[in-house]
Amino acid sequence: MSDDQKILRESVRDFAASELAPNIPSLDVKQEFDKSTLTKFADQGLLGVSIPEKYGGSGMDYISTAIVSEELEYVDAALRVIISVHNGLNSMGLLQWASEEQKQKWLKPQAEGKRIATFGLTEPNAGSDVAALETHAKEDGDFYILNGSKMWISLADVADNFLVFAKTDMSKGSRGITAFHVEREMKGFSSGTIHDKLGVRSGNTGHMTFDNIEVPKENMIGELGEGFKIAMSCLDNGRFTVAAGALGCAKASRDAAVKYAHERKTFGKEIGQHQLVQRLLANMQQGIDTAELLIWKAGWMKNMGIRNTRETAMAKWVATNVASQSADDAIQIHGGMGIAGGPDGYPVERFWRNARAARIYEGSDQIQEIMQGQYAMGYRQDKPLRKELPKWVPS
Amino acid sequence: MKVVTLLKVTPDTETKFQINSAGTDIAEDSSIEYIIGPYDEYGVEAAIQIKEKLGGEVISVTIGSGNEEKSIRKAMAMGVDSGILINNADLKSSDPLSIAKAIKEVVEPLNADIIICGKLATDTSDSFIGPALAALMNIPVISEISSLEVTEEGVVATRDAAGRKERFESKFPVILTADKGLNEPRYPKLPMIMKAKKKPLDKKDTAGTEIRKNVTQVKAEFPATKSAGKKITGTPDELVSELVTGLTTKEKIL
Ligand SMILES: Cc1cc2nc3c(=O)[nH]c(=O)nc-3n(C[C@H](O)[C@H](O)[C@H](O)COP(=O)(O)OP(=O)(O)OC[C@H]3O[C@@H](n4cnc5c(N)ncnc54)[C@H](O)[C@@H]3O)c2cc1C
Repeated sequence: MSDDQKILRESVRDFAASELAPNIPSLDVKQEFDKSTLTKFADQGLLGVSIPEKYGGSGMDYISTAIVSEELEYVDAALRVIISVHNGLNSMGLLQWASEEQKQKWLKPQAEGKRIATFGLTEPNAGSDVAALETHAKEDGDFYILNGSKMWISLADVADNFLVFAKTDMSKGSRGITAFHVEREMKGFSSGTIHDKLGVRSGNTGHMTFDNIEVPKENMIGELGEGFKIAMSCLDNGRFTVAAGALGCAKASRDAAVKYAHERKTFGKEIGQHQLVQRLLANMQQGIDTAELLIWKAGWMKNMGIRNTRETAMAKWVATNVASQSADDAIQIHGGMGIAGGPDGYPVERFWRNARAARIYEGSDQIQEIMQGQYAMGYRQDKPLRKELPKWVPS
Repeated sequence: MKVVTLLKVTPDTETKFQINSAGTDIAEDSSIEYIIGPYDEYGVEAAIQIKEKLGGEVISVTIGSGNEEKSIRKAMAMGVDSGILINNADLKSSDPLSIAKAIKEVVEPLNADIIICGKLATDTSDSFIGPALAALMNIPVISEISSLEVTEEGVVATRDAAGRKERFESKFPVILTADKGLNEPRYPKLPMIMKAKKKPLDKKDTAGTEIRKNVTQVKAEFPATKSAGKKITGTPDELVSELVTGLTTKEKIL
């Protein structure tokens, strides 16, 4: 780690531990998203980690975004989700695909934390099968008229800016999709929150509806019909943050388990002395070390400007499963106490609930497995894109 | 206002040490995370707050042995303007008086209004440098302060002494040593972390002063692990008699 990365890690860790962690258990119970979190993130500069300074960010390298994600999810996944959608899926997508003028207009205020952004791809009838999406945008003079709805969108009810994917040609599957920058203030926009989720309960997840929204033509990101490619490259960045967050969740699960295994005694000794308990911890560490290396590899490739769809997807697939298993084993080590959560209980059941959804969003386990199988067989190859994520230039 | 903050870099207080193979000191291996000494960090924060209130500049001064730059950059990311680092392992491990003299050599020409450092460094726990520097420079010192008010005229500081709060006033220049409670050090903001890289850090390998080492650390060992105590229960009378019996016959303390 470079000195900046070390300072960043210390800073975000201390910030999250003192400013955010104390409220999480009760927010989780109440299913409440605390909007002041966004102000705090903005104030710390967390909403523009790897966005260059000329676009309002801090200009740190891409691995720094992983460090932030990891430290935040060490506390709770809901905090990291903000980084995933705002920094990863949306802002880094704009950095890659938007025109210079668009970056100044939309990316800059996002990176400065003045506008909160998210990513609207999934719909009630289109998740893994992106080409099936039904939201459509019809050309009309200087506008596209946007109609349809989105589902399972993180920060749907709190974000200001939305990167929305819509069909501009219903006859064309994935090649008929175009990306648009949509704003909450636009007439015809509405949103709502989904309650009673298993995990990420202190995070906001929702749906949104577009009712004849007039989206100016200059709000098109990339070219007509380029939306599918844009969505996939946004996922290269979103998945990177999901992977790093999952690593944080796995480490938090391990640390909680180690602490408890020192405290709890059965049969006259600390339960950590029992080899079967040690095995669970050894497996966690194996997963953590593996995931960490995959994440750093993907981050290094991003820094160098090397295409990393395959490596990032692998990191996401491995890390989210490591988190899920680590949280599960951490519950096991806590025995009955493992399922006692809330402000007065233990955090591991919350980690377990949080870890679950990460194996569904941004490409489910199955989609990851299919991708890696296709790469292995040579059926899937990443062709150069019209615009790549810029390599990191140290300032 | 010119404020100098003395910044010692120490192993993270949560580090699990190993003893070196010679058994003389802790092993300086890569498992140690180095941080700004926690009390010095209160000093850094106080210095930055003074600058924010009254303007001026904050300069950090460090005697180090190679593990310091990250922590100095962190202090710069918090708001320190520039730093001086004397990188000299012999000096760092010399007698505290040699270190204080070296610091005097570096600090005196800066003509600071306020010099602030931690009440102690968590690795050596000497509580020596601040007061010693004051003696060497022949200026006042207020030690172990837990609150501070600075105006153009001077400082008002309080110290939490046993069972009372003491209040001191001084004109400039003055040395202050920071105790817990003085403030809550800020977390560096991301843009500041990047700006800190470009702030001037003057690195030297000597302060030009004599290095003396009259005291040598010959051994370091972990404290013996305590065996579990005995818990006694009963009525107050039973407790007293069992305690007295235990202390006289078993522990042979009474
Ligand atoms: C908490 C949360 C936050 C989210 N945030 C966002 C967001 O901000 N923006 C956004 O656009 N979306 C978001 N999503 C949506 C998420 O990306 C989708 O849920 C995900 O892509 C899966 O889509 P689906 O739910 O429609 O499941 P489906 O696609 O219907 O899949 C159902 C099941 O079928 C399997 N399956 C599908 N196709 C295949 C196949 N070809 N072979 C084998 N198995 C297959 C899947 O793996 C899954 O197990 C979020 C979801 C959650 C839970």
